[in-house]
Amino acid sequence: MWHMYLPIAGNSVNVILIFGLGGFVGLLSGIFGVGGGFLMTPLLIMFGIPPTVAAASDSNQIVGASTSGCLAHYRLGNVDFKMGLLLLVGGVLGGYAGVEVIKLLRAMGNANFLINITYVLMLGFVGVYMFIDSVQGLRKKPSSGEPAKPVKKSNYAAMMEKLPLQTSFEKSGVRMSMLMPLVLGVLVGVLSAIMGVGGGFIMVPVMVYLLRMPMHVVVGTSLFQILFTCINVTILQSYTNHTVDFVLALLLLLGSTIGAQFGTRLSKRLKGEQLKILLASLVLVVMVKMLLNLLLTPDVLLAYSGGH
Amino acid sequence: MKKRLLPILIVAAAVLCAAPGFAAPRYTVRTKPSEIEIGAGYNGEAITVTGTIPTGSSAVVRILGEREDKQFKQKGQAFGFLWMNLGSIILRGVPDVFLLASDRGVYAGGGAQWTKLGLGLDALRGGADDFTFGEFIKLKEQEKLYAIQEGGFEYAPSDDDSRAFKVTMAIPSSLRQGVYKVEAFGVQDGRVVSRASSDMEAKLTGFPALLGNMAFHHALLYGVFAVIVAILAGLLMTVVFKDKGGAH
Repeated sequence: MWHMYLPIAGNSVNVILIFGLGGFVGLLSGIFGVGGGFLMTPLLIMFGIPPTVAAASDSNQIVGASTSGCLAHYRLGNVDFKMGLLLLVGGVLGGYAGVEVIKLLRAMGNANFLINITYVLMLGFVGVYMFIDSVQGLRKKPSSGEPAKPVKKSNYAAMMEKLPLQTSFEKSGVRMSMLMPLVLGVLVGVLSAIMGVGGGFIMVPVMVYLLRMPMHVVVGTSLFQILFTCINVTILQSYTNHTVDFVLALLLLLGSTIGAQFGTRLSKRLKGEQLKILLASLVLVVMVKMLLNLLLTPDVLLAYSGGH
Repeated sequence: MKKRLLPILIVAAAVLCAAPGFAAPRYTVRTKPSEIEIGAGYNGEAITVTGTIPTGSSAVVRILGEREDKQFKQKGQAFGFLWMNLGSIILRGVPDVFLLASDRGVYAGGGAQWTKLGLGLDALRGGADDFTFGEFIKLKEQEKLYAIQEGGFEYAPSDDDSRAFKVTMAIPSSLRQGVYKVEAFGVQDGRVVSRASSDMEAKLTGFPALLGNMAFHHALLYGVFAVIVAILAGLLMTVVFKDKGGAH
């Protein structure tokens, strides 16, 4: 009762449990604009799904969750399509470059070590920075609804103004060179290909701190970009590795699309700084878990080859 | 030449078939159900294994998956404190599934006497050292694909020199499609005195079969289909929520 056999994963799962997992991650996806792959994949592996199937099927469910979330944010006027498209083009180019970097690392050996360390360092850096920044923001402006505009005109801001192809991004209320989102998209694409994740949790801080977009537009635009990245990954994984379990994805989807809708509403009620502090805490929890995985002796000192 | 050879071959075959060693198998083993259907509702299954062994002996039943060479990553400590995959190792001819049911007296906690019989996992270690093999078994036990069940046998007299046995064994939910070998051994005085085997097929049926076929034989179509359904589900949920009162 309540169990369903997954033909690609090769195991049966509790339908309610998978539905609940989808709901939880969908909620986060709606609130923060992250795909949730960095949370969902380890959880699925914990419930007996092979790692490669977990990652690929998760991409499939993110397509549904981000369609729902993206549409809800679009209705609220939170999607900057111009910015999203530029980031997407950069992300796709960066993704291909990242795959080549992985090949190079594998040839040199120690690829896993570098992937793990990149993960911990990136999560640690992003989490700590966002956490400190949002705590400071909350202290300064306890009643402010939107994140504060950058006060200091740094070298970074001066450099941004000097770049060619300046254009205005009306939805985000910023003016900058088209090269900025394109190049940052490439960088995030490289990192997410190396780390094997959608990249939402790197993209969101990049939009907030480097592109200086308001938090609510960041969330909608990030979902827009994740939607297309995950469509690409789902088709590629189905075609080359046969690792997308559609039944698993559908179960997760049922939960996550509902979760994403609640998440979007919750996101509107929370202040920008509160959203940032919550996401920062989440990123830090995942970072600590990964660090412990590296430091504590594993239960079993052998693993199946294939997938990472 | 051919004409002279044929009668000789026929006589030789008749003599061989009459010899005791080539008689029809005396002892048997079969499962109920005889094949496992992995449908949408499959969540493991209890099967009943029945058969015969010599009178006075105790039964041991093994269900073995296909034996194959498998590559594994070995975890170790880099720089003395970071755990990660450091090397790889191939285990030769290890079965994908190993389910064993043994009479309590025969297995007796897997001591030296049991090892001497050569029916346990030790006989299948695929060239691995003790430590690696131990870790391999832990990995398989976590997936429930390797399991040892002690006891649970029922016996009944069959004919003069054989006895019938019956045991219920749990088939894990992580079972894959394939043909599994079911073996029954009679053990007496620390020796294997009889051996019988049969095949048990596990196959995907219904929706899992349809999906499995599509994923492996029409992969591109499957990927596009998965994306379209996901998008439609996302859109549907948005519509449902809007109707119920409120995107704003």
